[in-house]
Amino acid sequence: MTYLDAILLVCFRLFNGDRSRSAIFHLVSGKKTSQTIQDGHLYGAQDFFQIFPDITRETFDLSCARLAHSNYLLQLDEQRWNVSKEGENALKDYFNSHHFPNHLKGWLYHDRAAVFWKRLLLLTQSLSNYAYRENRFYPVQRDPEVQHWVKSVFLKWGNDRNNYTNRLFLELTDLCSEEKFPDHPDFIIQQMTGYQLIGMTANQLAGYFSIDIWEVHIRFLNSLHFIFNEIQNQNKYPILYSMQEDLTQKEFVLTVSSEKTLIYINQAYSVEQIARIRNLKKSTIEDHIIEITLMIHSFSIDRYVHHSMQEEIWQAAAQLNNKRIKEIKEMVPDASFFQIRLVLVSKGRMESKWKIPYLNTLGSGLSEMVKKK
Amino acid sequence: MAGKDTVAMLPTGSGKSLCYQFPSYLTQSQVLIVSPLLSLMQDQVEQIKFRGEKKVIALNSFLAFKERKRALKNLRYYRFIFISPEMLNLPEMKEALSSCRINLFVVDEAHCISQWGPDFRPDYLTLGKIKEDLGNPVTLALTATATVKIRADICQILNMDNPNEWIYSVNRPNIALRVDQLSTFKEKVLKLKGYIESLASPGIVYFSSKKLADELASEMNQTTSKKISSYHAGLEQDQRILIQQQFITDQLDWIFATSAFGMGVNKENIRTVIHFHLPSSMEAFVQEIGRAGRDGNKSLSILLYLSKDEQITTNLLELERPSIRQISEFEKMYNTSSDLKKIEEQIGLSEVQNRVLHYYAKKDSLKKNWVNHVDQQISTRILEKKSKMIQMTEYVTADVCRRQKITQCFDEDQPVPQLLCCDHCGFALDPFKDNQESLNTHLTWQERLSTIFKESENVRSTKNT
Repeated sequence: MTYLDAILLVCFRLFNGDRSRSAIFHLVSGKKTSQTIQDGHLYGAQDFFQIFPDITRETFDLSCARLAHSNYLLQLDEQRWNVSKEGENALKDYFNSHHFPNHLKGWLYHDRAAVFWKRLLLLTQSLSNYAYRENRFYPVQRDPEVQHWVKSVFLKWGNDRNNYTNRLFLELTDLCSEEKFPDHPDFIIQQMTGYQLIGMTANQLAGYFSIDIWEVHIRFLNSLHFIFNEIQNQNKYPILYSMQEDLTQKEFVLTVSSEKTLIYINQAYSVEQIARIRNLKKSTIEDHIIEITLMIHSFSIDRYVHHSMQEEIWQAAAQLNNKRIKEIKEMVPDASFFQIRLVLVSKGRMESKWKIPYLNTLGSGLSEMVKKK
Repeated sequence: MAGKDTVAMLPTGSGKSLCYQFPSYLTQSQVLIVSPLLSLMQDQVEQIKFRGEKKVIALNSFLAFKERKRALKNLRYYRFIFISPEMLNLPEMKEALSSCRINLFVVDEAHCISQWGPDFRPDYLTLGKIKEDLGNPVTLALTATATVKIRADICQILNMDNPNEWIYSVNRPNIALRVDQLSTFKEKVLKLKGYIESLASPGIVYFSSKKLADELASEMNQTTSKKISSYHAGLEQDQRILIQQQFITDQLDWIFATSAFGMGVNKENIRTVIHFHLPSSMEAFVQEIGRAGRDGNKSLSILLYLSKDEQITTNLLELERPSIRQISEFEKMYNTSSDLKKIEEQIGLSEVQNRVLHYYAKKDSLKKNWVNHVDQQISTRILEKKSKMIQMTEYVTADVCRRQKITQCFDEDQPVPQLLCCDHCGFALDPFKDNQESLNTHLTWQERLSTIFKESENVRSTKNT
């Protein structure tokens, strides 16, 4: 089993056979559709959002084929697969001897952490060359926006550059020396470039640690997301904090249309009224309400589903041990599909960590042996 | 500079890019440079920026929509405009260019016109028309290697009227030439491994397969004392930049690459170039070995040959030929549907095949019996490519001086006899050996941070504790 296989198996486990293979592909590759985002939140898998932004469908399918061939995945029907008993066991064994990424926050950080990392790489290279009095070098980042950002910081710091260089060095050293730093700092630091010292590639790290390239990628991402979380502490890491404070947090960002719907909801209009005013289908407005429920945790659904019915739907889901709407509908015939979806989404949002304890047990097997080197 | 069209064939690293940079500063004119490979274009732009020139832009598919729009609006303020041939054919690009005053039209790696021709970059063939649209500016075709026939092709396609020709010899006296004929694949790999361990680096090994380059690089990186990485178009851009820069700063001993590596890489001290597979043509071969020894010091080219190696390339060529059935289906679909991707999927064409057929559909759509016409055109190209292969095989098998064989292919005079010449004339490998162990330079993360940020005192303090 490759590291990719193992991570995908965790995703299959979280989706519990309720969703198609493609749903998992969209999740890990980071397709930004409301279906993928809803799936991620509903099944507590949002941390895996866009963790493999460059994965091809072919690579994904090959990995699934390997998992099915080893009988770790069982086919339920044409589209849906679930993890077998063997798969569960193999997964536990695997993460007993491999690092488990406990700090991934894919949905929350995917885009901001990526930009922050590019900025850090280029700023470090620039400061390093400046420190060694070299004013010509080939930038390791060619993204014009990143280059532009680094240029402006460089100018802003002006003659204070050496001071900032020293402080950035200290912040990075402190960060990597933190007791709770999740992994070997090599996965971050060895990729960084300085004057006449070019960073290692993911392949080279894989060779150095004798692990596969997927593991390098996820362990790097795990540390990066850990760092991103830590540097929100502005007092402790003022420079690193300033390198990402302008990046807007997209966690609660709604689509423009849903935002308009929300304004009407807050003025106590009904679904039908909003549909009429906005000249949209009722089902569209319902989709907006699902999105709002997912994104805004304080949003109450009581006005759309009576409390007792919420309970009924949730119990049906628990009894069925899945979240397939059709089957729930058979058990609660009075509920509309919209109501069922809404309950699943709202409960899911509260219980979105419902399977995280499972993930933590997997990760707690992390031994010093894995942290070696 | 006298305002005359020119074809220049100069060895790589001899300052080809000066040919268009210098005149631009002298006459304060705008230069449009057509460049065939995205990575090469990026490298050239970085090199010009490295020099301190800011008014340079690369127009290619890397450019985000917003940036592209901004760039197009301000196009006339750039001194050097690099562009891919595909982009050049976009209507909005043509419009933006009409606001510029292009005084010099440069076609870099101009041999692509012929060598890659319709099979690879159909857009290169429309450059003649583009030149006309630009008001026939002075045209400069640059190439490192081109036979007489290809140079004639270039002039014809670019509508160059009686151009100046600056032709430097393809012979590089400081590069010794050697061919090893082997009988099994295993033997070939072992031979390569021996060379990697013993020959002077930095060096490049060229493969025709990405997968093999990856596999052997990772295997030999583990089992030899040398630092080796693979490089090909399948890697992410930022990883490619790192490997290139590691190689340039001598942090790597060997690069195992496909032909995607090399153009645009300025490195003076490459000592050895090895070909694991037979190159597709003498031009490609000469260009690739020409990356060695730009500093003028003695260097080495080795070609590893397994009998029937040429079969691999020939098979690949045959695979690129669409069947008559596919061509006629294409004709039907082309007239009813404009969705290229759909045509490709339905008929089961490769991307290259689709591009070729599309090109002929645009160019010769009125021809009677289009299907047979196209099939014939494609057959001719394949035959031509095969004859190029045969030239390469002859280089391996012929019993004459290899240097002489190369110059013959380019219709040049016989080279002057020299000491370290080729394995037929006889030379020992000893002067090219270098048993120096690659230094183990792996830093701890603390050391790396301190080095990068030049915090040497902290290095000592962390080491003491």
